Amino acid sequence: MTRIAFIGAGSVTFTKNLLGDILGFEELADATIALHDIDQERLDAAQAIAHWTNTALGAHATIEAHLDRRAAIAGCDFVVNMVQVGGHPATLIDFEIPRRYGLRQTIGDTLGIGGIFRTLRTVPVMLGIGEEIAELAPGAWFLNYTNPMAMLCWATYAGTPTGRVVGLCHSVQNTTAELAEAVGVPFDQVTFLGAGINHQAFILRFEHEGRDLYPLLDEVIERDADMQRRVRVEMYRRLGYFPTESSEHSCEYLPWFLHHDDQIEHFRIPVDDYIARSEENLAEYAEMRRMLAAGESFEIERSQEYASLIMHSIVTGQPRVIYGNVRNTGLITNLPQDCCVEVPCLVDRAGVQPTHVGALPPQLAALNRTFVNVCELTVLAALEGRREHVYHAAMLDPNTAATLNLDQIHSLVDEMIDAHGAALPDGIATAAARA
Amino acid sequence: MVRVVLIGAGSLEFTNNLVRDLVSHDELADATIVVHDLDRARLDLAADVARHVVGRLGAPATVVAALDRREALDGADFAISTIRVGGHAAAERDFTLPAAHGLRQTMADTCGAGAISHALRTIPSMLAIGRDMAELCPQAWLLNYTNPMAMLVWATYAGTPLRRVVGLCPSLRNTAVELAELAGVPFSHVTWQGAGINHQAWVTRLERDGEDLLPRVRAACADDPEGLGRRARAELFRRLGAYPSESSEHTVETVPFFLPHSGQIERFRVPVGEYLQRSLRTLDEVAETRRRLAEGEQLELDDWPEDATAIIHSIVTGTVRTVHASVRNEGLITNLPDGCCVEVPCLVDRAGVQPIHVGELPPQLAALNRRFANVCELTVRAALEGRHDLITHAALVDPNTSATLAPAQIVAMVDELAPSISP
Repeated sequence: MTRIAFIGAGSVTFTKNLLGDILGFEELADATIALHDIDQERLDAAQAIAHWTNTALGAHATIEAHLDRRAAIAGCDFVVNMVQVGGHPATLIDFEIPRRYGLRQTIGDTLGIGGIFRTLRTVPVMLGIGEEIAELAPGAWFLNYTNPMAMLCWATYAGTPTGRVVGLCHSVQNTTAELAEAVGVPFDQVTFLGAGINHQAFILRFEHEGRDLYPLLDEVIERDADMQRRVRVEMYRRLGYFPTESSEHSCEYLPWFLHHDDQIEHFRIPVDDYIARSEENLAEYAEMRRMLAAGESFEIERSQEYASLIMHSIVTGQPRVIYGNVRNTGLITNLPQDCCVEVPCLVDRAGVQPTHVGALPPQLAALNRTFVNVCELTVLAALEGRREHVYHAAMLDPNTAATLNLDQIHSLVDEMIDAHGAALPDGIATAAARA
Repeated sequence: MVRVVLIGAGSLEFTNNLVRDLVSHDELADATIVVHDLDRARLDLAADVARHVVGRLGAPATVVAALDRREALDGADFAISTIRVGGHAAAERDFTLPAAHGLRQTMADTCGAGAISHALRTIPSMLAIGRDMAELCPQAWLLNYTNPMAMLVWATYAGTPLRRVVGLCPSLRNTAVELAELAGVPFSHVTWQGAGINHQAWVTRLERDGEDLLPRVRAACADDPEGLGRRARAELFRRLGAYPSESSEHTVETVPFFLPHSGQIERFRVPVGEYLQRSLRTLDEVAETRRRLAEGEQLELDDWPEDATAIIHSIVTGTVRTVHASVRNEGLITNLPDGCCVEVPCLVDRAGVQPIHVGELPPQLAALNRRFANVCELTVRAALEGRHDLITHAALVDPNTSATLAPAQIVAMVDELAPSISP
């Protein structure tokens, strides 16, 4: 019988969706679901929604709730991670301090100064989970949903004995569905192939019955002045391949937009967007607790997420393709070995098996390498507790370095380290700043 | 008898010093020195300079002038390239056009919009030289001095059958010499290592008898706030922990940290447009050389050793030397892309120029080098594949250009700077 742990299960909306997906499969309906959160109130809410979902689907899962993470992980086949370390207050720090320096951000969960610090405070938790899986559930698959995806997966496979780490995101699914719709071709008839780094991957092939669909997309864009004022469409027009992430995400990973007032306006870039999203998440959580208390019912609809498909394929042997974030073992030949790449993966009883992509078009590899620079330096800072690499990561970040000078970057990093303090890995907060 | 061809010999200062350095080695004094230039007047002047120097030293060397490159290269043992395609006028355009779009540059010969343009007009000549050599003197070594070094050497080994191509630049060793002086230690007592990409390489080790000398350099910088403290390369050393191999005016162009910010230009005394002044001085020097030779006056002879001469001497005599050269990365620097052009220490002896395996650079240095290599790769591929879109991509990922201009501005600038390209 399959045992699945949800780490950070207090992200209740996500827990509900994933659970609906999982228990919707007959072969998984009798699974044991081990919920874990460090917050008792959130854990209670997660447990309530899990029971509700189990009953509503007529499934017969066993639901457990654990404040102790080790108890949740022990004996698992799958460990799904969705922790958000520091919550809303940490997010506010990630935006407010940089804003005082004139550094703009939109989402702050991937790259940039916000992404660097989100990684630094989350890596210690990731390493703890990775160590516990190796000890208590060796052979289990660690399916990570927490951002910054590329950095956290990298830190986990590089810093713990757990090799079965796969990062999951829905950006490729969403993008390909939108592209198919834009050109008016039924999604299930479209051939596509995407690859790159999570949140900066690109659709390399987009075809219908052997015919390249990009020229059709060009025509659609040509006619649509509104589309032309989207960052990702601008990127597509300049680079020749459509990026997999939304415009508000994508603009943060490049030096081209956020420090130009006219680009913000022209491309309608929602600076500080994530703060509002984070507030919405809090409101949604409160609403969900109210509904549970009032005995109201929820909608259950199959989501776009890959986690349940991976579990189903591994348990039943039914082959599927998913996009996973995995260690680059020669998969993308013109990106650094061992960095975390997003590639198509075959899933069957043998597990998640990444496919070999080969060389990306050189302009895409060039952008990805610039992205990887920040990831590598941040991961090394976290794993080795080296404060100087935090400065280096910020210096190498495209948007940060295009906005601030070196002195400003240095003191910004110092302030961020002070503000996040004890949440950061050993050695980062304690080491004396280099002059 | 060794046959050495100087391609672009009209670079008179270089020809003067190279010929002097070459024939002052006993084993090379009877060399055949072939000077080649596409410009007849400059070629004649170069031949006069070479003969003048040979005569002054009383060497038995033969000087031959060849206007035809294939004739020059036929049977060569070594070819040394100092070509400058487009001359001063092209260099001027590489500055004024980007400046009109709001982009600041200092040298425009390494990385950045001007360098991309500079590489694009030079690569066809490099490819022609490489192909000619592969046909006419396949065992010869091409020793390139022309910038943008990393792009041109890359284009040559990737785009021609010639494999014996190395790029030479004194910047890494000069930097080590300067650092030894800052540390107060005679250079001959210093153990040092350096590697990276030409004009963005790093002195990663500087020691005497096992003592790390970099703390002394750090202290010397800290003690000189108004001097070194206001130099971009010392600033990068402070931030990165390794000293950059090139002058501050070169270094600022390979990173996004200085040129986009007016305050940084002033604080670090960044000489915007510097190369144009140097280019004008070179024109003056050519005129002065012409006048002296015409009036029978003596030319000044310099006395610095050239890496090209050292390599020729080592290959001819078997004397073992170390030089720093730009070569194809074949696992030499493991955290830079395979195939890119890296600057590493090389062993030279009768077997030729043999690059040393460096291993991993510290990650922050590799990260900066990768951004530079991005621009090189896209420029080289644009030239080799005749693809205008890749020129735009090169400018879009260039650290300084992309930190200064928005994409639409970059595209407009590239369209003016490099309007057409063919494979």
